[in-house]
Amino acid sequence: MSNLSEKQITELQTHLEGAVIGCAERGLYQSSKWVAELLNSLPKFHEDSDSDTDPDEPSDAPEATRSRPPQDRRETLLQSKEYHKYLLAKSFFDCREYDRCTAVFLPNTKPRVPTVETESTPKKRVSTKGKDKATALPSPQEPQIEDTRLPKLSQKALFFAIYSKYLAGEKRKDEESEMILGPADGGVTVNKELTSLIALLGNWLQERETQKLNGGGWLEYLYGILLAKNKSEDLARRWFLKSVHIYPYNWGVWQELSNLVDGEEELAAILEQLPRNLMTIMFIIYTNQELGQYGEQIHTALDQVETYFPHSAFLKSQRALLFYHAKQYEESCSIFSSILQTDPYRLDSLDNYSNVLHVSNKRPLLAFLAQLAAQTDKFRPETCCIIGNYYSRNSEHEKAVMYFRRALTLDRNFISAWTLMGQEYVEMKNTHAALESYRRAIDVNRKDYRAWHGLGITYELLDMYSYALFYHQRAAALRPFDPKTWQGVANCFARVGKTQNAIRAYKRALIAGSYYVEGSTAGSFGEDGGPVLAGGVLDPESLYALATLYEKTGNMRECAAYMELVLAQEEGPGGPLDGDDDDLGGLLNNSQLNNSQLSATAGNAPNMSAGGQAAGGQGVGVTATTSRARMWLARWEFINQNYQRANELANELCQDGVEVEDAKALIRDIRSRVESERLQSSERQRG
Amino acid sequence: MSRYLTASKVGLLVLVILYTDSDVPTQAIIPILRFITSRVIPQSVSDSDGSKPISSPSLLLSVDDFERCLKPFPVTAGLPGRNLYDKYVEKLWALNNLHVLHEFFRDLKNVLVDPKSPSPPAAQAGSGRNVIQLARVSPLGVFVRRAQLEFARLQFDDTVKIWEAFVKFRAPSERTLQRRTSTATTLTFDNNLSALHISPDSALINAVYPNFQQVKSKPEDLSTEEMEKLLEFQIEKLQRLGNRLPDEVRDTCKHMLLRSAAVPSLAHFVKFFDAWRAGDYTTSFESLHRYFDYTMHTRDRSFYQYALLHMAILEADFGCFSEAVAAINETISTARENQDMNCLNFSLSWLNNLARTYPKEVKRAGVSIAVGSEREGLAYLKSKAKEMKLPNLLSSTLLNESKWILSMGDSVPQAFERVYQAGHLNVMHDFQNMFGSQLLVTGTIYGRLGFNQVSESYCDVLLDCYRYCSPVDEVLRASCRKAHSAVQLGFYKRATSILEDLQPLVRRNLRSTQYLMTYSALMRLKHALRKHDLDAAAYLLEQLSPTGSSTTIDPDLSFQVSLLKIDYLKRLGSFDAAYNTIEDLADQLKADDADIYQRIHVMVLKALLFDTIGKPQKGFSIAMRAANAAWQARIIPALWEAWGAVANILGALGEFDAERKVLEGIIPQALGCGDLALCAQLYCWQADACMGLAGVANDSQRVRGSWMTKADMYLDRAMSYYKRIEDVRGECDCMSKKSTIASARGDAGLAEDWARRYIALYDTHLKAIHDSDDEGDGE
Repeated sequence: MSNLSEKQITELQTHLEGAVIGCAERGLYQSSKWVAELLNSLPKFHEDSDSDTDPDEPSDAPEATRSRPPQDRRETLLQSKEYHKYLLAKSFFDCREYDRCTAVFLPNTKPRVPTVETESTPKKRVSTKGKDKATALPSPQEPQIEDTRLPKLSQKALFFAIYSKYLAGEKRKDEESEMILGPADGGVTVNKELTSLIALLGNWLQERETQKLNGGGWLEYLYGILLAKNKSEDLARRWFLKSVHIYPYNWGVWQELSNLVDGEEELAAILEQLPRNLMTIMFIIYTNQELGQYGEQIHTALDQVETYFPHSAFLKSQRALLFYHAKQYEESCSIFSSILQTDPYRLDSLDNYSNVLHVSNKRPLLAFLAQLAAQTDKFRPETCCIIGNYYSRNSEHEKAVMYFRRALTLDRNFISAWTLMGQEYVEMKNTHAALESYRRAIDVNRKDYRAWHGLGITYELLDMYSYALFYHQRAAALRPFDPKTWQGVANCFARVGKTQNAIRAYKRALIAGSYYVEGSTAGSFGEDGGPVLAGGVLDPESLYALATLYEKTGNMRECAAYMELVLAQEEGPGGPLDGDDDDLGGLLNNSQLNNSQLSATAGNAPNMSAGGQAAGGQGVGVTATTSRARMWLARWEFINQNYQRANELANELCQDGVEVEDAKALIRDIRSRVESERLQSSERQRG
Repeated sequence: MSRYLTASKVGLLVLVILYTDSDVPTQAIIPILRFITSRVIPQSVSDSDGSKPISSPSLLLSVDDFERCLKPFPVTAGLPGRNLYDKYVEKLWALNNLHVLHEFFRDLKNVLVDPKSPSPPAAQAGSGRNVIQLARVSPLGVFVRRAQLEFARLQFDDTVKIWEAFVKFRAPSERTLQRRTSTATTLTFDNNLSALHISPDSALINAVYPNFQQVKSKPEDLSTEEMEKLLEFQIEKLQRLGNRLPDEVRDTCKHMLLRSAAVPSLAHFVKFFDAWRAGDYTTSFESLHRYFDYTMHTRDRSFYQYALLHMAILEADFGCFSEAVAAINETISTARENQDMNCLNFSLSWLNNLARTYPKEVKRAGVSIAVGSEREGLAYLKSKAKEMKLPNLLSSTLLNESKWILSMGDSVPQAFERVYQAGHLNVMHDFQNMFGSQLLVTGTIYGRLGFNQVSESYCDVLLDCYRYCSPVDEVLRASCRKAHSAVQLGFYKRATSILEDLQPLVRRNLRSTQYLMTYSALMRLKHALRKHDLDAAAYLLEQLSPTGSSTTIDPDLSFQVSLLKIDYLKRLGSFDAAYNTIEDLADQLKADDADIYQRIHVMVLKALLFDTIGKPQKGFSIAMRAANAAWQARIIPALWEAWGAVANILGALGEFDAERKVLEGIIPQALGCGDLALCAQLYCWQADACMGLAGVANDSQRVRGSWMTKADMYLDRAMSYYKRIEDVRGECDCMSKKSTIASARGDAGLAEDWARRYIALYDTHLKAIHDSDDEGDGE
């Protein structure tokens, strides 16, 4: 199915056109934009065939095929009846007068007289209303007392009314939250409309369901949003799934659904319930990307979809993000820059691009990107994020925070800004603010490992290691192959005295580190590729920490072996690694890894040194850590009376110019010890 | 519009770096430093205090300016054939993207001496190059620090704007760079573009540099700081010289301000001055209020009194004296409250001035300043000025006091003393703008002493040497005084040309224009009266007479108008009206505490009027009083007038010898006063006296003949003077008298001849008027 037939494409186009109009009619502008972009990224061959026909000439055939999906007659009738009202409501909505927009269709959704039963009154009222509507629509002949106040509504009008009420509540909530990180910001403020709206819509949908009817996908979607906001996520997920089954072309549903997926397992569970179509593939790609997955199968899926939509900037940016997660920054950069050139005014995923540039330390390009974004629109959260990233890279943390705050003022749900702001606060040693920012990031999106990791680091700064441990573990769960998170975990274990756990965690970190290095050099990875630690340099810090941990447990042999390993990193895998195979093999075998991928890694581990020698990578050179390890080794050899080696190491230390005094003292000690031993032996001979 | 940084400032910073890198050869150091400092160091107001015509460097620099400065010098080391400009351009283009610009500003601190370790730069010059480090308080150091600070304060998009401006700024030097380095392509202005492999016509370039193509030709925007500097300069000029903005300057300013969102509040102040001068009351009022509204938040509330002060001046200028007095009273009380002595003193002195210039109106407004209180006011101001060490105020107070002494008719040496004290202060403190008024006062004193020539030369000094730094008003007065003396000598053409030369100066300045127009009308009126062109005179008088509010005309001028009106009435023959006018004028002057000179003049006029109507004896006491007063006040021209009147009365009483003696005594001195009309009159009277003596000496034919010859001679002189000032009537009188003398001598032919000439002259000039008069009262 590499290419679609023309008929299929026309059908797809029809669907997408309908989706654009449907989204736009309901005020779902972002979804509408997304679908429209997709629509225009289809290959254009059909246009060539159409080109010779006169565009003014009325052509019936395409009209027929492009006409909206058939709706039931009642809906159409209702819609045409309330068309003028709809236009009024739409214009109010476009002017952001949400309450007024709601009032066009649903007057008096609030109790007019406050009663004693403050708790139940709105609910009751709403429920009756919902019932009214539910009953009013299918069976208008039934006499109702309050019917006069509730006009018959089409689904579109109902969606519009409830959605704008919801937005009004959100707006009020944002206004009450006041400034970013202020006292009223955070969980204090809630959308006050939620409960009443949920009750209203829930009843309506229930009523429909009893009649084997649905809300056309849209109302299910809206109900899902309301539920998700109300933290009843399982329910929300269910409704989203329903919505997707009824109408798959609303990208908003997919996005919301993806937000509710917390991990791979959950994703797998959901996948089974999904319909099989193009949008599902999109969803899979997007969700995997959001979860930080970057396996081969996602790339293939992406390849497949890209054959249908060769010009889609969205898909391109997804690919770039996959590369970003895989730490293949060069590839990611080049994709982003090509997006930039084809569509210079598109700001949508440029904040991710700025992250890539930030990580790969390309400051001139980052400045250029910031310039471009600032020229396009100064007051978009993306722009502010890019600029904040630029200042962060330039170590101007105050300014960076200012821009991140601005981004958040523009959009409080802009997760990456929360996380990045947390990082800046950590840099500024404002741990309090950092914690809060990270916490907010997690509140918005629990899949953001950076925020978890940041929280861990912040608690480490505060010397609260058991707290930090919890957060590091969460981060590690989200990103099992990130050495940094594992280092964090290990460090915290070590601090709280769980040495064995710490040792295991460090080993995980080492494996993860080597895994990444492999990935970046070889360019392809996966189970079949067989991760080989070739060309990789192990992190000397981790190794040293590991060694000291072994020293603490009294396992001096292991400790010495790891110290040797630290030394070996100076010259990299190309250097002499005699006799280290066992150690590393032991390392990897000792580690109790559950993950199948990692056990594969461990299984292949013995190949490491051989491959390493072949690759001949570069070492880290002499660092403080390796010098410390050398010192330790020298002392160790001295204790083990291996004076020759000890002397060598001490001399090396002198040469490197690190800890010269200690090294010289050691050399003197060795000399005197050797002298005295020689004296003793000669005396013994004499004796 | 950025607050401080502009592209040309970045260019200057690059030049500073070039200098600190020791890339500048020795002979170029001074020119380059001069180039930088002339743009960097703020020129204080006192610096540019008009000492020379402002040739300040243009605020906006282009690369060409740098080229002009740097081209003549070679580089210290390296390739031959290269000049410093090439090196500079290289440095300019090394800033090849926005990030590098950020880094450039971040690294600026490296050229400053580190305050923590002020080690000699030799320690850091590891590369062997001698790096100049700038002290933090040196002019360049301050500039660098300010630039760095301002850059740190910028928001990101403002840095983008500066970057764009900078790209535009250096664009002209691209060719130099291309000539020197072959690698430069068209897109080197941002190496990110080449790094991304973007074709020159890509849409991305339009997105990043959206207004790059279209604004290439537009000049660079000024920064707010530069704009403010410009406006301050304008205000300083406006305030000191009292003129208006030239059209092109105003248009340029408007253009500059249009392009910036934030209009500095000073712009409103400039507009206020401009509108004020233009006589656009509403606009100036509006602008003044706007200015103070916008500045209130930046400064403390002490600004309030200045607002009031300006308002008071404005109100007074537009003749709303009661409002002005209310405002100034409020100013004084507020200033007292805030202990702002500067403002207090100034407002008091201003009120003093106002009360003296417009005594009537101010009195009506509820402020009465008695003679004593004025003296006290001046004394108070003087002591305050001394106390507060305000030589400026002291100097102006002294000049005011001198003027006051003169107008009160007190001792002239005292007036001189004050003037010289003020002059001393002016020279000591170099108050160039005070020289004008000092010269004017000195000139006035000499004029009153009868040294017309000296007085005029003081005016010449003012006009020739201090014209550029004196307020328009003073230049105007000096010129008018010159024109006046020219008229007195009968040089009407010269007077007209002097006044016409002033036209461009007062153009579009309402008050000055009014003054000038009134003055030239006065001159024409005088001329018309003398030529006996009474129709024109009537017309001019009608124009000049203060029908509406008298305040639109300077009090001095309105006095002159009254004098000429009396003259007109006399020439018309309606003596009753003339008498009444004189009486009114005298009363008014007395009520106003007016200048003694004016009061004496009116007295003399009254005496002469009695003479004209044939009852000279009635004017005797008043003439004597006038002479006495003039002598006491040492107002010499008035003294001669008064004595002339006295002598005439003596003649009327038959004391011809006394008359002759008096006139013989005063005529030589009166000749130096530069008033030909007076001289002619005196000679005429002298001739009368001689004729009287001839009449008395009936015993000897010879003596009588000699007196008659003398009378004839004096008449000739009077006639020649009358001719010069084109006073037709006087000429006719002289002719008739000459004819009479000739007939008395028995020379009928000569008498006939004079009579014929008289008739000819009479016919051409006087007949028409007298004919019309004949119908009225049948003379």
